[in-house]
Amino acid sequence: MARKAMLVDTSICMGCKGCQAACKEWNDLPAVLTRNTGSYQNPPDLSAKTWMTVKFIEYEADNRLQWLFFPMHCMHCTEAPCVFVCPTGAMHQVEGSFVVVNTDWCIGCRYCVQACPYDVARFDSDLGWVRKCTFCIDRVENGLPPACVKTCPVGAIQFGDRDLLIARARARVEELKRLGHPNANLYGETQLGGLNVLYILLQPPAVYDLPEQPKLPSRSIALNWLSGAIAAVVLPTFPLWWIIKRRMDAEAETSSSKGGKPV
Amino acid sequence: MTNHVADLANSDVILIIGNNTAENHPTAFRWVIKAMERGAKLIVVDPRFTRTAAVAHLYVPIRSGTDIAFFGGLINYILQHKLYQEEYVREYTNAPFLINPAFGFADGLFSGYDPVKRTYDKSSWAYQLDGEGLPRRDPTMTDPNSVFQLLKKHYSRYTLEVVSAVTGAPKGALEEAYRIYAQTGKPDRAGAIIYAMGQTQHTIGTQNVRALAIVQLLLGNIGIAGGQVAAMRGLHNVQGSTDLAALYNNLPGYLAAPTNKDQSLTDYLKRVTPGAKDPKSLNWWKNYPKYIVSLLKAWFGEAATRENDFGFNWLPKITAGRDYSHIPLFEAMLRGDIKGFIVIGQNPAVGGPNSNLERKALEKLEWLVVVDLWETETATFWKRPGVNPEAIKTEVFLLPAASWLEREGSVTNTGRWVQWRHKAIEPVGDSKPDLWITNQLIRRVRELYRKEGGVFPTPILNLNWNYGEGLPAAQEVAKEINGRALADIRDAEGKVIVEKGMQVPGFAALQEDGSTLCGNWLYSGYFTEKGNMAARRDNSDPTGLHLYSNWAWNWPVNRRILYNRASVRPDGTPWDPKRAPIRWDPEKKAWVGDVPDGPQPPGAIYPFIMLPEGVARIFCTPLADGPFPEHYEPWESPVPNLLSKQQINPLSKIWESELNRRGDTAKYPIVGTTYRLTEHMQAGGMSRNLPWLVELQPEPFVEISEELAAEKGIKNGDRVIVETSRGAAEMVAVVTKRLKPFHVNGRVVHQVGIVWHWGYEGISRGDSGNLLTPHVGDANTTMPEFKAFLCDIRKVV
Amino acid sequence: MREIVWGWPIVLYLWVAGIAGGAYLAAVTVNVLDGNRHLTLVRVATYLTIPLFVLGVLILTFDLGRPERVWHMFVSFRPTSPMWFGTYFLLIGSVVGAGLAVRELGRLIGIEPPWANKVEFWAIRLGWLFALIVVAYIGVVFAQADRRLLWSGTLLLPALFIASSLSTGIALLAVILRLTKVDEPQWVTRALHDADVLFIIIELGLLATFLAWLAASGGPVKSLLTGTLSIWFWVGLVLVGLLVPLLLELLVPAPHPSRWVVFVAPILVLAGGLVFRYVVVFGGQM
Repeated sequence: MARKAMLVDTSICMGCKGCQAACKEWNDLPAVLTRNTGSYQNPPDLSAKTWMTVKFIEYEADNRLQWLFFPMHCMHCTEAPCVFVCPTGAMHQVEGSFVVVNTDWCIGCRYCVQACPYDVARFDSDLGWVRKCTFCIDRVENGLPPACVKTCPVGAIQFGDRDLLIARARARVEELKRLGHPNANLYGETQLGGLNVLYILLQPPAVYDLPEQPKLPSRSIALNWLSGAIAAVVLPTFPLWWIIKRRMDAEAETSSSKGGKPV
Repeated sequence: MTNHVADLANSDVILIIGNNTAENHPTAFRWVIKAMERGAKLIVVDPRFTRTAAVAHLYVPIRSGTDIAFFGGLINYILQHKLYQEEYVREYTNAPFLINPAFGFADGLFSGYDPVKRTYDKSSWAYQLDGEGLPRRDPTMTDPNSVFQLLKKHYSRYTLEVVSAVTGAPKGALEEAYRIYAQTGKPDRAGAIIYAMGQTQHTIGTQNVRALAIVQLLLGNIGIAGGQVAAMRGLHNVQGSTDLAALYNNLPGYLAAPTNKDQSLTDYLKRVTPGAKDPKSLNWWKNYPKYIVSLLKAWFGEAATRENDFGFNWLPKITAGRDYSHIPLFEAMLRGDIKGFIVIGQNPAVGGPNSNLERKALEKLEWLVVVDLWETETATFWKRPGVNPEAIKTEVFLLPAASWLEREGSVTNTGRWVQWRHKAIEPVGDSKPDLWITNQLIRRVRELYRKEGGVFPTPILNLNWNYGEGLPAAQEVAKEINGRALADIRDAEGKVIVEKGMQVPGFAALQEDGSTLCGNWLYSGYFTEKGNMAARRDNSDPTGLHLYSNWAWNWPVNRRILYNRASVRPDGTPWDPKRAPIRWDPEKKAWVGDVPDGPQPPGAIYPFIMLPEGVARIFCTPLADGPFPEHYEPWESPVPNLLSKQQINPLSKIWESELNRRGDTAKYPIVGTTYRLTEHMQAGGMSRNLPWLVELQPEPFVEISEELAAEKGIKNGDRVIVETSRGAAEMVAVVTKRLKPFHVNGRVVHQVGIVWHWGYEGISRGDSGNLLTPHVGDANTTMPEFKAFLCDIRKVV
Repeated sequence: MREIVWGWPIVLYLWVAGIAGGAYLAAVTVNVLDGNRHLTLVRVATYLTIPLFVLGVLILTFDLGRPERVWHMFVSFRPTSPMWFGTYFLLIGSVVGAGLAVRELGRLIGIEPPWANKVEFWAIRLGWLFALIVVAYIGVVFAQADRRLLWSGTLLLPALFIASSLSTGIALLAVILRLTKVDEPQWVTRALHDADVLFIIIELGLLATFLAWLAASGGPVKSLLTGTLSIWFWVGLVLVGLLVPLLLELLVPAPHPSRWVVFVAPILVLAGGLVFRYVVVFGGQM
């Protein structure tokens, strides 16, 4: 079956937060206490109780002001670092697309929280396990679009076949370039084996605080084990042996010079 | 709206001014996005770079209160570059009409101004009439007394330099906006102007809207698909409310409210029914008698007969010329003139201007009834922070109301679409639908009158009020609003078109002899023998013009695009054949497409059927403050008026008092405006009690520019006090790049924006933005000037 | 400051497990190098290591959001996860440790089957291996968190942890040796203090290389050197945890006439080990 994905066209997103509210409602997540710290962005960050938040970015360059809106939730990476490091398999991938936490199986070690390049997975200290956007898997498996897709009044968030969405996105990026957005780009096509939540951005990923190309976990793991192995072989052996042997030999010398008995 | 929301998808250029569509009408905004997906351009004009501006092609910053300067510049641009749609202007507007040569304009005043009475004698504004009493025209529009030339002369003063100096907008941005928008003057190009409270909530509010209407008429943008004056009403059913006479000067269907000068029905009809001598003018308001009589029959039933003028004198009459709108109402309340007050689904303690004054006014009431879903600030004014409840004698009743999910009925959106809503769940606890509450009120009041008599019991006792004892069936009320035949209705040939007892198919069947009843002539046709038209859900679009004519029902008679006869030339050929809302079929001898403004063949009648001239008014005399919009500064302004010596609108309504003082620039140098957020609803009752919404926007804030913040030592997120002559409010400071200081005639003028949703009740509590706003109003509507005033700001230490 | 997800429990685990592993590694190394003649030393180390190790494992378990579900890790097969490997390492290490503990218990109460020594011989060597694995794998776990540049921006984190574990383990062993006055020749004490010096130098070298590498890969070097953690880094770790003990050890070599010097340097090293882990764990998440 063709892989499903979501495409977020931030060029028509108007920051209404309908997606945020729909996510809370569908997933029965409680509202969290927030303060106005000088931004429209609220809650200011994702959390175990907030699986989606719209980032509001004021960006001024070349005499042009832009107010960029970025509906942020799990990227559902194909080669997801969170899945990679999960010691129990609670964080797992469904149908090659959706990365979901099995909250009955999660032990709350929070390794995924550390591993996610987008800081998405969060630990729920009340429940003891990790929670995050589920791609509304319960809706999708019943033929419905995710809640955020359904709610978006302007159709900025779309759901469907990944290849189709990419084709559509590429065309849209070209159109945006013609309309005066030379930095328009598609994010998510290649990152981490391909993200299943793709974004049409108006500015380079760094403006949205997105890593350009996060490291593939399969690539870094080999190097990390290797560095660990080398350090393990080298450090407790040669230096330690040498320093002990040195003292040991010196002792043997003095004792032999003194008459053979070790002190 | 002259068209409707979905029609925005047909536009080629959309100008949004005095409105933040994406913010406050996000669902409607998808139609703007659809237009943009077709290649349409979006221009946003606003003091602040809003969520709408974020997705626009062009953003033009203007200082609050300078919209007429902006439009004046656009009108001037269109005229200078000859970008108007000439045939349309000549045939369908009063541009060729000749005006009394005594008409003039000097020093900011039109001819006929009486500085003592503060009114205009409009005799110099009249059309010149020919022998038959019809307005004289110059089809070449070169006569210096022609409206066209007067228009040109008036707006020649609004050069780019002047407009830039007044508004603070960069000349380049202005010119680009004008250039793009004026392109819609071509016959095959359609432009829509979307506006809302940012236009109307000024002392020159009505003229703001007039200005954009003139632009649309010059460009031939009215009556066509994609071209409209798109008022975005502030709530989902305020259109329905005003349709059914929520305003003091109306009866349902925008019939005039009777005054003390109308001693009989005949007097009334003589005053209100316009006459038109031109045989090509349909002059639809000539049907006034049918509508008022049918209304009276609906209200008084059998008791209304020809002998008693159908009960006309049982209607309450306002004093002619007196203002009963919101501001004077609260001023009267403050004086102690109002004993009792019923507030239904409204929260004036937060939403009304000058909160301190209005809250104090409430204290003077003997009794107050609040009907609402929540205990709002109005309901608890008597124990609000800073007052001693012991000192307040008002008896307050709070009647819990059911929400729209818990009851059935119709809702009329800003596009005039009447859509039926079905009940989803039972009302919570003791809360009751408004219909039930109103029914109980009237029944019990009537019973008291019956038992105890009273001063004037006749109107109450004669009311045609038989909705049962419990909850009236919404359908029954709807049917009455639609109208019913009380006797067989025959056409000119004597054939019965509506049988006795049947619903009328439309207002054309209404009679002035008392044989029909109709609660609102505009809504006639919405609940006919065919059923509930407002409940239809067929979303097919055979014309491809987003008409969706079988989805719900809109007034009048399901005509989606008003004045659509203006979409074709006088000979019947559409200006834009690819996007014609109506088309004349010579075989069928009828119009196809949208419901036409009358079945008459092309050229037989003028398209603007609601005006006695039959053509649209570029020059408009009935308004109090001038036939042409003229820029005046707001009541509180930091700069002198650059356009003339007249600083403020000479006819603006002002109530200066201790509680409503005018601030001076020295103490309050910053321009303030107020606005709403996507996440909250109006005075906050509906949203500040919902945790999921409070989470999104938890506290009231003021947006200030980085430059102003640096001047005042304010950091993003600091708590600040915003203060005017009328009050002070504590807010969070949002320091943003989206507001920049304006350069107004060489001076730096700072502007800030305040959200006004907050009050002292609810989960999320905070200071109301309206603590700052003044009790001054528009010259015509007395709409409060919420959108431009003077303030100062300082950090909370 | 961002949310700290792995906090003090993890810092403590690292410290405690590092000391346990390092002490055992050092003791067994001496024993093996000198022809199995230092079983006393090994025993002392065992008395340190096993309780510390158990403490460490308990801390880890109860730091979980759902400690009662800890067994989930054992019934899953997750070879991509260094933490999963770690759980098995800890498990096997626990088994070996349990074996050594049982052997010790037997010795104390007099139950000593003939094969006990033979098994002990191999258990000790196995213990050395798993002590090494335990102090090494944790660096891999941290390094896999790609977004946490302090941990993943170089390949030196495992080396740093191992060096620090050895350093702190040796330090504790030296202190305990002195306190318990077991029958071990003086050269062993001197050797341990020599090792202390050597590993402080190695740590300093690794730290410098680490910072340079981190800066080159665009990591948060500033936050360590001049930011919120700079006091902990410079004073707590570099000064108090490394340079001062180094100086003390060099100027006043063991065995020392005055008692306090013997203890001060290793104790500072132990404290420095704690500060080091605090700076790395918390700093990586800020």
